[in-house]
Amino acid sequence: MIIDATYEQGAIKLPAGLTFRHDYFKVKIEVPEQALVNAIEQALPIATVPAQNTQTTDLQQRMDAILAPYQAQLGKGQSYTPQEYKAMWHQHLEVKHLDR
Amino acid sequence: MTAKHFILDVNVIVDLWLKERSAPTTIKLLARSTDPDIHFWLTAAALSTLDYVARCAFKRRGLPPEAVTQIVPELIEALLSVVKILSNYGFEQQTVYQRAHDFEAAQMAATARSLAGQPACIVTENQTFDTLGEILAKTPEQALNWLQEKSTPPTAIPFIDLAAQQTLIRPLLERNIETVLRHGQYIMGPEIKQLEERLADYVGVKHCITVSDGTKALLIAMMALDIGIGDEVITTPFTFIATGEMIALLGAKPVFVDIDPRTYNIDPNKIEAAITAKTKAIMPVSLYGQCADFDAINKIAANYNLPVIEDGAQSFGATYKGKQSCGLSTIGSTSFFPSKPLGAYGDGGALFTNDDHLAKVMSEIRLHGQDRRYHHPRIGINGRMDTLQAAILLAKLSLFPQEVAARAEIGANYTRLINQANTNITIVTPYIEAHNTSVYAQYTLQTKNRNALQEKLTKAGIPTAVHYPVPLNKQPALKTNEFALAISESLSEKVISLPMHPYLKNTEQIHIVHAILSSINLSSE
Repeated sequence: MIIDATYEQGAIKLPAGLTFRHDYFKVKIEVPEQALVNAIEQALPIATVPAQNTQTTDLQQRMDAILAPYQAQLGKGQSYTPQEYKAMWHQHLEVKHLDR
Repeated sequence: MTAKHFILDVNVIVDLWLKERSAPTTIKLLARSTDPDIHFWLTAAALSTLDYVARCAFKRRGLPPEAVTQIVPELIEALLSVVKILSNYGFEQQTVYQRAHDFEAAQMAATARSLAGQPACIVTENQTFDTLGEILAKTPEQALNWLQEKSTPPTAIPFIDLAAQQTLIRPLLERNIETVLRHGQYIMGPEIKQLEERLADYVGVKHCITVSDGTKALLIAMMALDIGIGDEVITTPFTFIATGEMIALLGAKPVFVDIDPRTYNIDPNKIEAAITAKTKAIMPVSLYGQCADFDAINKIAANYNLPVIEDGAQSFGATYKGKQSCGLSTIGSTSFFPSKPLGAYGDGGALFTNDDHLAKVMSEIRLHGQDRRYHHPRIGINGRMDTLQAAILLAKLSLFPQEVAARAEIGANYTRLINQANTNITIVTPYIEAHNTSVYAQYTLQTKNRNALQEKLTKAGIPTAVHYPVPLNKQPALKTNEFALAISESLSEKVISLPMHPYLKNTEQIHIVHAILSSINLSSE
């Protein structure tokens, strides 16, 4: 919920009539740029992130959008075998580590 | 159903992107990622292979190099929205290498060890995949069939399932633990302050002080209130030993007040009669995950100018009239023992207060009474939480709100399932006050035939526990006949707790309830 409040000499004044569930909680306030003499250092991020969200991503839609310009080249050639895929990687490793 | 894990091989993913061979099946498989029991993984070691092989394959299909450079990272990012990364651990690479005939494949197979024995398979087109003999290898088609197979009815149900939770946050757990190993501040590291801020915000109080365990939390709270020899602390006998034990350890006397038979919490109507000139505090326990009646308790305490310490070892996450447990009285105390609603991977605890002075004192007591380095104005203890446990709890906090909601739902489901079939009323289900939400640290029933029920459930592969078989006034260490505690004494012979955790399935609950009802029917025959 966003409410209008007033800063005055170290205190934030909230509108009357609000009651809160907790006696202590943190709020975010928007300070007008022109009211600031100096900026606060950027707070360090907390070392937690939400668990990976597997609910919302429509993988197929995202893949289709990425690959859309190349439809003509995809799904029409002869499939690679697992051995061919391995060979691609091993060839890369050979070039990288042995053909120097 | 039981969780199933799928570790994707590079060939399957590149086929998916090239829209070849098994791509339609793989997309069907991945569409199940919205199911909380289905987990898809890519191993860390396979990521570089995937990146290179995909680039190579796209180029061979005629895509311009600049397009390949752009789309492969985008495709990997999209994939990682439904696939998590399993770590390859350095400590086991040598033995994996020694046993492997295909080291790349074997490295992938070895990562499944982190899934703690849960059903898992490698999804690959490679018919000779080196699984190290430790895991199944399946084609996408076979994997899809395996996924669609109906789970067999549960044969053994864990009392608490910590592995299910670990799977969901493993990358975050690994990151947080590794961060501590890298910075090396094992005592009072930066994670302690981060956790304290997060927990204080969650409870809605000004201060949180993390401590080494829930028992020390109680001790520190009472030390901060100067409770000592000759003092009295009013509490409940229907609880774990730590509550009375810490009072006695300080030389004070636990004054036991009987409980409300519906909630198992201290009966506020009986507190006032127990107050004497020696009473220094009231310490209610919010048992089984439901808060005691704090409005009534705080009112009595205020009349006698007594502080109230909530022993919220089982109730962290519960609410009382919309307010969070541990934020309901002078001091709130909790435990992060691994089986608690918010549990560490070892011991841990925390104290909560809005009182600046008490917060400072409790903070000093947990650090040997120290207010600055090597300066000790008061006697304290070594009561700090380990940084590693704070790092683990920070990871677990990301899941906690949804776990609290799941616990409430599962508890209510147990009650509904039991009560709709239990027409004889031989089993009493938990009573939750309308103004409370419970985190069901324990889902506890009452039955007159506890031993028989316990025996039959054990035979059916259903573990149970008794919280608690002996009230504190009957424990040899605290034995007293001074108080009238008929309700506690009677209920200690009737209570039995069922498997309870936020990942308990409806099918498992039905199985458990069916076993209970069968047992009752047998008993009444």
